[in-house]
Amino acid sequence: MEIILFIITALIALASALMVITRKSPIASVLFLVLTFVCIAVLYVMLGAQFIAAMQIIVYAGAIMVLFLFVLMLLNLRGNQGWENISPARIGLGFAAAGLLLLVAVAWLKTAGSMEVAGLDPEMGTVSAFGDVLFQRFLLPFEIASVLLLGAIIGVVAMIKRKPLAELGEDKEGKVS
Amino acid sequence: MSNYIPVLLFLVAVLGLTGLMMAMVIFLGPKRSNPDKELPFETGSAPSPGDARERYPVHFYLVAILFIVFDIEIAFMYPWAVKFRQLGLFGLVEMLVFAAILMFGWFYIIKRGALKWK
Amino acid sequence: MTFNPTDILAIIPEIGILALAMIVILLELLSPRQEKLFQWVAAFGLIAVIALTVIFGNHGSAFSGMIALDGFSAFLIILITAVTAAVILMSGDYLRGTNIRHGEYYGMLMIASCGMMILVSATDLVTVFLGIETMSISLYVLAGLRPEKARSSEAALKYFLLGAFATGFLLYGMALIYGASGGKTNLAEIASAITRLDKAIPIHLYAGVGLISIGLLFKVAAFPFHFWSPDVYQGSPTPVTAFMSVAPKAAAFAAFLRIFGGALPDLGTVWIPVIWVVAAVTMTVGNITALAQKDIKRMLAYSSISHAGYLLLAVLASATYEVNKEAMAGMMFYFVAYALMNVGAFTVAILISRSREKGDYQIDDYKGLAAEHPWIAAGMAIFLISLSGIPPAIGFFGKLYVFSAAVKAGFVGLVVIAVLNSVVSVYYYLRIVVYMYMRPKEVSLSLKPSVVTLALIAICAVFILLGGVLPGKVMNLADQGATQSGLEKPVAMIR
Repeated sequence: MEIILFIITALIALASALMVITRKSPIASVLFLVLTFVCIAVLYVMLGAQFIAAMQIIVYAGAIMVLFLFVLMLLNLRGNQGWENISPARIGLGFAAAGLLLLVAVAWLKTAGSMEVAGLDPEMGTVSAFGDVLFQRFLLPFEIASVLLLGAIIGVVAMIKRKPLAELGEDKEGKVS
Repeated sequence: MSNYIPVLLFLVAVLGLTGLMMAMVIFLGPKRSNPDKELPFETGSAPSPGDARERYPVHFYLVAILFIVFDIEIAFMYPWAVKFRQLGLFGLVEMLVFAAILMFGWFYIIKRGALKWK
Repeated sequence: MTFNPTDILAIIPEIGILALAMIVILLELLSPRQEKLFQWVAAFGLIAVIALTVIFGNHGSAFSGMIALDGFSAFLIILITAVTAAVILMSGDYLRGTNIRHGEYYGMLMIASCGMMILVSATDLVTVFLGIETMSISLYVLAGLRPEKARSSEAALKYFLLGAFATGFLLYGMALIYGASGGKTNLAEIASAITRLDKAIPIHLYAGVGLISIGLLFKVAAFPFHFWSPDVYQGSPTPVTAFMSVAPKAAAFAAFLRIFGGALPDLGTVWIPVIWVVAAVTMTVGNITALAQKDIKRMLAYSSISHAGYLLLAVLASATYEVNKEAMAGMMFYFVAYALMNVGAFTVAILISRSREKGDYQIDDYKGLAAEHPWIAAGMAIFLISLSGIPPAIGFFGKLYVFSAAVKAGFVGLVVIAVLNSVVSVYYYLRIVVYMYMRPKEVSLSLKPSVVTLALIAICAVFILLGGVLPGKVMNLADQGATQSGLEKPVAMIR
C-alpha cells in the first residue's frame, strides 16, 4: 500500500519537475512547481515528518510561490525567450552530464548498502515533538531566526523605499561646508 | 498510515463534490453567450487594455516579501501553540522575545510607510 | 528544562549589537536628519559592546552547546565589532554623496555583525547556518544599496544568487552530516560520533563534508568559488567593500576552523588533500590575477582571495591535535593584522576616489601622491607593505605565525608555495608605493580629508607598526583565547 503510494507520488513529483524546466511559459512552470512541492509534502508525511510537510505547503507552495509569480511579473518576460538559442550540442552535453550523474548515483547507491537510521524516534517528525526540541534545546536558534527575519525586513525596505533623489541635492547643499 | 485515512476520504469528498458540481454545470446548465460574458474576468473590474504581461511596480514585490517574513513567523507559532501548555510561562516569554524583535521590524515598516500605496 | 538564565551572558555581545542597531534605526525614524548623531551613537555603542565582550568574554558554552563565548570567539567578536565601528566612521563622508539612509545603513551593518558574532561563537551546525544567513542577507542588501549604479545592482544580484546557491550546498552538507552522525548537530558530538564510526565511514558522510566545504569555500572566496568576489567588491559601496573584505571573512574562517578542525579532524585523510590543493591554487590565482588589475578595489579583491589561500593553511593545521591551538592563535593574529591593513587601505582608497570627478578607483590616480600629501601616502605605504608581508609591519608576523603552525603540522610543501606567492604579491603592492613616491603626478588631487578619516588612517598605521614591533602582546592574547577554546582532548587520528 505504502510503496504504491510512494511510487505514484514520486512519479508525479518527477514528472512535474520535468515540466517545470520544459514549459515555455514561466507561469506554467511555476504552477508545475507548486505540484512538485505538494508531492514532496506527501513524501514528507510518508517519512513521518508532518511538521515539515505542513511547512512545505504553507511556506513553499503558498508564500514562496507568490513571490515567484511577482518576480516573473517584474522581469517583464514576453513570449518564449531564450529557447531558440540553445544549440543541439548543448542539449546533448546536458543529457551526457545527466547520464553520467545517474551512473555515479547508481554506483554509489549500490556500494552504500542500506542507510540505517537506527535509534530515531518514529514520532520525531510530529509537530509536538518538533515543538519540544525547538523551544527547549533549539531555543537560541529559534530566537536568532527572528534576527534573521528582522534583517530581511529592514533590508528589503531599505532597498525599495529609498530617499527620493531630489532630497539628495538638498542634502548636498545643506551639508557641504 | 491508517491515521491518514480521514485525509484520503476528505480528498475523495473534495474531488467528488467538485466533479459533481462541474458536471452539473456542464450537463444541466443552459448555455447562452453574450459579449460581456466572453470578457476575461479580472476580479470585477474592467479588463485591462493591451497585454496582460505588463511590468508590475516593485511595490508588489515588497508586499510579497514582507508577507513571507510574517508567514514564517506564524509558522513558528504553530508548534508553539501545540506545546503551549507544557512550556508554560517560559514558552510565552520565548515567543514574546521572538515576536518583539519582529514587531520592531513591523514598526519600522509602518513608520517608513512601506505599505502605503502612492 | 535545558535553559539556564546565566546562558544569556554568553550572548551579551549579540544582544548589545542588536539593541544598538535597533536604537540607531529608531533614531532615524524619529529624527531623520541627525546623521552625525547616528554615526556617533553607533560608534560609541560599539565601543560599549567591546567593553561588554571583555567583561563577559569567558563565559564558555551555553544554550545546550549551541554557542560558546570562549577566548576564540570573544577575540574575534571584539575584532569584528572594532571593524564595524571603523567602517561606520569611514562611511559618513561617503554616504553624504548618496541617497542611502544613514541610520538604516548603520543598522544593516550591525545586523550583519550580529550574524558574524553568532557565527564565530557557533558550536552547532544550526547556529553556524543561522549566523551565516543573518550575515549574508544583510551583506546582499548592503552590496546593492546604490541601484542607480549598474555595478552595484550587478554586485548585489551576483552575490545573492551565488550566495543562495552556496547556502544550499552548505545546508545539504549539514543535513548529510546530521544523518551520518546519527542525528547530531553539535560539533563536538559530531567529532565523537565520527570517531566511534572508526573506519566504517558511510559514503554520505563524505558527500556531506564535500558539500559543506563547497559552501564555506564560497563564503571565504577561495578557488574555484572566488569568481563572485572581484565583481561584488568592485560594485558595492566602498565602505561596504572594506567591511566585506575583513569581517565576514574572519567570521567564515572561524566557522571553517571550528567545523573542520573541531568536528571533522578524523576525516582529515579525505578533506586535507582537497583543501591543500584549494589553498595552493587560491593563493596563486589571487596573486597572479592581482598583478593585472588597474582598479584598486579589484586589486584588493584579488589580494583578499590570496590571503584566503594563506588562511586555509591555518584550517589545515588545525586538524592536527598538537598544533590545533597554535593554528587557531595564528589565524586570530592574522585577522588582527589583516583588519588593520585592509581598513586602512580602503579608507585611503575612499579618500582618493572622492576627489576624482567620476569617483573611480584607478591605480593611476596614486601617481605622485607623496609629493602632494606626504602623510596620507606614508600611511598607504605602510598598509601596502604590511599587506605584502615585509618584516617591520604586522602583516609579516601574521604570515609567520600561520606558516609556522602549518610547518609544524607537516605542510612544508604548501608553505613553500605560500612564501613564493608572498614574493609575487610584493610586486603589485609595492607598485602603488612606487607610483606614489617615484612617479610624477598626472592630475592634482585636492583631498579634503575629514578629521575622522585622518584619525582612522593614523590609528591603523600606528597599530600596524606597533604590532610589527611588539607582536608578542597581540600574540599572547590570541594564545590565551586559543588555549581556552582549542580541542580539549585528542581525537583519534587516522592520518
